[in-house]
Amino acid sequence: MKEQITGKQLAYLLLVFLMGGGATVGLRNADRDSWIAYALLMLLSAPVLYMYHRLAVLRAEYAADARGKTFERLSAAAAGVYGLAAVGMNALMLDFFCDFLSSTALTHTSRLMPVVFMSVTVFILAVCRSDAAARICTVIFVLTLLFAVLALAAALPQLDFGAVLPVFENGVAGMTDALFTAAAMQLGFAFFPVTALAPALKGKWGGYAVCGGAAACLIMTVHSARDIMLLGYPLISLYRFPAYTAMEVVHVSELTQRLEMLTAIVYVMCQPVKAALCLRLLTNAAEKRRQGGRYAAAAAAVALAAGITMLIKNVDGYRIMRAARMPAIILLIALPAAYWAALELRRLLRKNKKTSPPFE
Amino acid sequence: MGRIKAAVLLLLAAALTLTPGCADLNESDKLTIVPGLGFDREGGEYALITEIVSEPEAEGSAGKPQSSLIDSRGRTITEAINNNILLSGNILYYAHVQVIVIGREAAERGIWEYIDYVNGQNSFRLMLRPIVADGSAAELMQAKALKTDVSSFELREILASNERIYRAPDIPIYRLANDILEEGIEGILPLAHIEDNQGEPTSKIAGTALFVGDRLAGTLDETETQYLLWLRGKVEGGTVTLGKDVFEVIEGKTSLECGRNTVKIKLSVRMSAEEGSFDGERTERELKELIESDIAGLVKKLQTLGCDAAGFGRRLKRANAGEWREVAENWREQFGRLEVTVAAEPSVTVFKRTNR
Repeated sequence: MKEQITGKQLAYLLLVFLMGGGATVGLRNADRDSWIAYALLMLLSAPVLYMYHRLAVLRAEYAADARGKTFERLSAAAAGVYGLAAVGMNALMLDFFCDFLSSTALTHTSRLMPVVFMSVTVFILAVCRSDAAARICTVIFVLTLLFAVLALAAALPQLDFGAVLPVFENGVAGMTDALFTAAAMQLGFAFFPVTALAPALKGKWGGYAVCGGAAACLIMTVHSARDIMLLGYPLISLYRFPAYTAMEVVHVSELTQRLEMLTAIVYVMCQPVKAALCLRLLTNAAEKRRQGGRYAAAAAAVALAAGITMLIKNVDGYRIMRAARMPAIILLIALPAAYWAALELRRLLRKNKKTSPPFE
Repeated sequence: MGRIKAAVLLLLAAALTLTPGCADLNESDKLTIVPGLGFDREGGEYALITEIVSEPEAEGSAGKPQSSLIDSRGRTITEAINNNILLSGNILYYAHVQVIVIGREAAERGIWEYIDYVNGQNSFRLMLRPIVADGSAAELMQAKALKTDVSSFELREILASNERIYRAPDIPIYRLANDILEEGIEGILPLAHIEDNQGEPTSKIAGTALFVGDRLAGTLDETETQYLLWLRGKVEGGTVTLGKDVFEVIEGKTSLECGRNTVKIKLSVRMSAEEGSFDGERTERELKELIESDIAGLVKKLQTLGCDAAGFGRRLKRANAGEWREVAENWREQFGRLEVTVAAEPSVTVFKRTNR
């Protein structure tokens, strides 16, 4: 049976993917303006996701002819770099996951335990069929949306709406810096799921991809503002996981305590999805070369990421993200954009050639 | 493929070994629950008073938990807490801490280190309430609890009941931390005293401890506390006493127009009265004069202390960031020079139980 996923499922999948990095870590450098940074990310997500969609469509058209195949062979040489980027993001997600668990709930548990637990989950999600991954993400999407709405509704009576003012208090430099990090490390990495799942997508799906990205950014905008309105600024800037800490102070009744779990569950569900979807391009390529090759590729990538995570335990993951954002922008946004522009130009030239009258 | 499936199944089975539960769990009988902590400063040392709760004994205790205090010292807060474990013998469990009592001397030297310690520890909850003792924390925690044997639980209950009568602020630790860190507002905490109740010392929470930065700068009495809470924007309770008559506050609204040199306070408040104590417009006029002069007196006192506890600066910052930037650096001095006008609009409703 052919693997097929719908545009709607892609939207759910992208929402879960983008929530995987942003919901709890937040945009640290943006201070009180982090919600504005997420709102701007929403505007930025539309052209970037549309670009990934067009690139996937044109690549599929182009792959059939001879020159296209030569180009694909050339780009295969660079595939190793993309593979390393995917493994790197996997390691970062693992690191945030371990940090989150050890600083909130399992304070005395060895780091190895969450690393093994999440690695197994990521492995399963990376090797399963695209339609199975899409169905899993649909369930996670429903739960994510439900918990996001519940968390907001529970916090509403306690919100100090004035706490997000004044805007741009420390200028726009911090916010621009944070937006740059988010564009590279959250939006840029959406290249992997869109490109990897494109062959399995049926019907028109570009609009769904854009909607999924915009919805994720909208949720993060609202939640980021909610966190500031709950805890206040500058206190919120002291915490490593602001969304989780902010929900700790929400009090609905004596019976409903520990509402931070609403945020924690979303975080714990979305992070493995992000890590696994980054690996799917790699596992797809391995499967094309040899049947069953995806298992070996996923196992190697997950083991490498787990090894890196164990090594970087004393390094702040957010600092690594900041250091890696420029290469990520080049690799995941600038190069695909250039490739897309070239393909669009070629398509235009070919169309003109076909429509122009024959020379007499 | 068969081998691959077997490997995946093996991997899944191995993952099951991670699920049985916590690797380092502690049985509840190995934990000692801490409902409250007290901090005092004695010379260069930190004195920590920890209230611990033990299981009720089967006979004679009527199921009530037993409470006792542990006194430990250290050159740092962490050292004092670690020394505590040496005395108690058990692992102390801080997730149920309800209140932190800070002695007057410790508060005068600065409270940020206590707040920062609690904020940084995952075991403490951010909803716990700090209280300033008008004396030493140890004395307050030793005072007799009337309803239960656990004085920390009782202090928390007194604070919760104060929410309606406006005799002391009820401030969770995260809000205090934000007020200390943020520009244009100062931190406030409830003030606790020891009072004699039928020959026994008992704790009473009434009044406000005012901070400038993180240091205790002064205190407010119960009436001043009510007006300060109104200025902070919450008019949902309290009483106003005019001569022999008491008027209970039903609801109200404060609006502040804050500029760099002037502050206009507008207060509308709806109160209830007994039939005999209400004399139409005359009573309302007298109430207006009383409230306006009391609030003006409170603001004058805050200005003398250089303590913007009402948060006029923060209001200015939110409403007009450009103007705020010009005065932000010297706000405490500027606050002392502010021209403040108060306009109160009380309205009285008479509730009758009988037809007389």
